[in-house]
Amino acid sequence: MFFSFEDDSNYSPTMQTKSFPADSVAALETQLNTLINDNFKPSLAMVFASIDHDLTSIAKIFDDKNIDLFGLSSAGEIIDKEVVESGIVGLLFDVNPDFYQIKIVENNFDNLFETGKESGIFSKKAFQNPALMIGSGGLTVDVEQIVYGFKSVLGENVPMFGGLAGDDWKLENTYAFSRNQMTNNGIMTLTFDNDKIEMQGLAICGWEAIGKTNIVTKAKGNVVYTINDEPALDVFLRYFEYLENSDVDAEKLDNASAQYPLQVMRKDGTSVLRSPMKSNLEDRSIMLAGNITQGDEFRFSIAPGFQVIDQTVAEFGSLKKDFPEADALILFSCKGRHAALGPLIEDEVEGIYDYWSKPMIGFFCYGEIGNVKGGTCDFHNETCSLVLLKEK
Amino acid sequence: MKADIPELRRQIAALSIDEEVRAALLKEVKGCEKELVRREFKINRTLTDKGIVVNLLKASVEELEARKAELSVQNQQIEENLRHLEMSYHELEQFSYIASHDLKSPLRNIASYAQLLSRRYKGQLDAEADEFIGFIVKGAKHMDEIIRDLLEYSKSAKENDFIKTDLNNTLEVVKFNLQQEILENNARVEVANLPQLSINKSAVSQLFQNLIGNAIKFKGERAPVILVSCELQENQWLFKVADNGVGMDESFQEKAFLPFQRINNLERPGTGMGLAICKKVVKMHKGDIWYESKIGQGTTFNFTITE
Repeated sequence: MFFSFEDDSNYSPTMQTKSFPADSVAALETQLNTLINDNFKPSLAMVFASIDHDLTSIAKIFDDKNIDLFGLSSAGEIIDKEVVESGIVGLLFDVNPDFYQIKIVENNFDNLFETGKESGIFSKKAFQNPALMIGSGGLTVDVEQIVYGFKSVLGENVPMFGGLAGDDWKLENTYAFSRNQMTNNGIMTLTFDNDKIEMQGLAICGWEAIGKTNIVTKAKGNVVYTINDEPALDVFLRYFEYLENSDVDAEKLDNASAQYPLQVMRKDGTSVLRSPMKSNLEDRSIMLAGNITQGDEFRFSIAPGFQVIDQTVAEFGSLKKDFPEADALILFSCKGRHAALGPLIEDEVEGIYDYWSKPMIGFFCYGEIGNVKGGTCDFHNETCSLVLLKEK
Repeated sequence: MKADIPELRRQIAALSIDEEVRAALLKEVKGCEKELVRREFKINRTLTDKGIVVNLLKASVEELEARKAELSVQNQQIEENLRHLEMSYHELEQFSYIASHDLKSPLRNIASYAQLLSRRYKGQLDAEADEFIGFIVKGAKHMDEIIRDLLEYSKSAKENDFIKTDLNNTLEVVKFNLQQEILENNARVEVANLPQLSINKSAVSQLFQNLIGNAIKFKGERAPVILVSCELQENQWLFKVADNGVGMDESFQEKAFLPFQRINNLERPGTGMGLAICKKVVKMHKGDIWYESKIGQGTTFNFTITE
């Protein structure tokens, strides 16, 4: 009797993708059962879900179906050309599991650089030419240090994109989760083999600085205690005094605060945006969606006019010219952008989707990782960071 | 307006029309509602932004005004200091003039009587006494030169009458004044065509005379050749007085133009006032002066004059 080895892999010879929305965990399971068939057997899924849903149950569904998972809690979700609230969106990949690896590293708060470095070492060991999708769970994380840690291992040219998980602006806990692990204090890395799955992307901002230059006179991590030697919250409220006049929660600075980020000027002439997220009424400090250094100079900035939507979409048009094909699109859009553009954010999402017309999911996050045009990977706020994936 | 939408829906629901038409109407209403939401958001955000921009700009304007007031106080202080400085400078000039003028008379007495002693009693006292009398005469002569230069220095700032002058003529006068030195040292002074400028004639004559005189005084082994030229640069004339003399250390750029500074060979005659006078004359003409030099090859003095 002769035995022959058959190709027992169930995945498609080329990567196939399908996106789907769900308004409940049960609906998600139904969707999966509908989408998975003999011709489409996903090995990998990305899921962005409101914390209104039971994230553990979501993870279990994928684990039961033996599908690897890159999941993040969100603050508004994007599915193809639509924006939904308190929903679940998913993107399924029927792809060779040898082409990717997932790892969660818990944050080392004493040294976040080391957290990034450890994750970077994993990615470097996984593939000769890695490309990274990074998700961060946890509110008080200095992601900039983590990005530096990644870059210390991988260099400046490895594609790295991602976002900070959200929690529908509750600002309590945000999560990154795989099929069998969940963290509200860690970094999840989905590393692709860039020789097999090409990753490209671009982060676009558009916020403009306004007013005088201010100095951060006391800060630690992502908390600003004083600005120009005045309590940070008092400075913020003075400029944004409408907050005091309206029925808002000063502790959360109202959702609108994210529209008016600090444009921090770096010594090399570049600048990064840091959105205020919430305040501490006792010590009058403000927590930002990213770290800031004592002595940093910044100007407040204001959300651009609605024309920024057309400008952003046009800029992604240049990405389309360079990379006309994609199998899947992932969009990390800042929650502050959502707050600033309101229902008109759909125009931006639709414009981006229409370029490639391929399955796209995304979410509104608390910070974005990506490359701005002409720059290397950095940690941003107020950007719209698009990632394209294409099997080579 | 937004509140009318549910009423509109109710009215459409109550209409006795074809269901397809009703569905089309409701779809239109939904579109309108979406557009209204978008417009309402735009208006609200514009109003909020307007308030915030006003706050931010108001803070910037307040800071600018505070800074402006601060600068105004500082300017007043600077003006006051400048006035004091001008007064002190003027007083110092007057003191320098009066002091040097008044010193001349007693000095003349010292020199005269020392020379008288020398003539009448030479050989009658011992050799050492003759030598001491010689020192007194020499010292008095040197002090006379210093006082003369000091007078010149203080005088140069007092004369502010600017007149249109052909500098070619000025240089002819300078060459005439230095005729003896030129002949004794076999020097050659070449002057390019110079412009007509509104200047303090005697001060500029002194300036050229000092520079050309120095060039001859600090000659090298070769016969001195001095070239005077100029060119127009934007709103200033740049003059060059170049020589082939011993040269001077460029590290003394600042020190060289201070009063009583003698940079080169101290055995050569001089009081160290020449270049200080030059600088004063150049400043009087809103210009600047500096030199370029190579030891053993020569020095070029550059100065500018703003007409």
